[in-house]
Amino acid sequence: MTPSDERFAVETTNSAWRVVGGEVVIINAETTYYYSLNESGSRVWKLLLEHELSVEEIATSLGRVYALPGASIRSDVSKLVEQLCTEQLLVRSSAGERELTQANGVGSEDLAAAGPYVAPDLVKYDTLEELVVSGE
Amino acid sequence: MAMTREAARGAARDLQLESSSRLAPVYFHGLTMLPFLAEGDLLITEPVPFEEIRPGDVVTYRDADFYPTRRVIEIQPRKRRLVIRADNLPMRIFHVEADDVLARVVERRRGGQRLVDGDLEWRWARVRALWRFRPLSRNLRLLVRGLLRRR
Repeated sequence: MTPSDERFAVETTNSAWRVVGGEVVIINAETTYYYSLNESGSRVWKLLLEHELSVEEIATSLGRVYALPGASIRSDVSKLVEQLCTEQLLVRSSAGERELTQANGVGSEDLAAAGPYVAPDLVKYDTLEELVVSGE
Repeated sequence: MAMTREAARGAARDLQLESSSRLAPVYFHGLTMLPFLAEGDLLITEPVPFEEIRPGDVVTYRDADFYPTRRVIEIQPRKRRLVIRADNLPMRIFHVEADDVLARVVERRRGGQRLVDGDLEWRWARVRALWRFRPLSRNLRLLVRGLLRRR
């Protein structure tokens, strides 16, 4: 179980990401694995790009998007955060480093566009082979 | 709808290319950009907005599952399209849509030596390629314009 005062942020040194069709694709340069996040997972990623947040805070923000109590999705969020940490895509930071603001990155557009809640999910694919470009 | 493995792989490869300065260089294959680029050269590429591409730049673009890397000869801003050739393949012209351009080559690593955009050799390769591929009349016009400007 993640300690409730622990905060997390996206590890930006060795990772790169982009949004494709509303879902985030991530590469980890250190391990060379690549990943995708489903819609709710992508929202978590977006939140953590903007703020260092605890699992509680992420669950509350995500719950707001899907009109669900944060407590009901806390374990889903906790599981995703643990996975992202295991894959070295998130870093842990000490409590209180940055305050959670009301404008926590989930705007009204995101809220309107949200479909039914599906637990956040990280899919891990293969390692990336060396990229070859060609003049041929 | 969940993302397919293929879509994720395509996006990851694009990311790999766009982030090569931060992540890892990409490997150049082929003979068609000789002598400027040779088999085994390692390239650093960076994303570039269409508006910042200049004739003579070497860009990488998406073509199905491949990443051709060739020189821009002409920019067609209204069509948002580039006219592209390979330095050592003068007979073929490629037209590339702005949306397919992923990155510009900004550094070449060969045998421990680094060459970056702006170095004399880089600039010379650019001038030589443009001079070679542009119509003689246009080159003469540019030359005359340059001479007149000196006065």
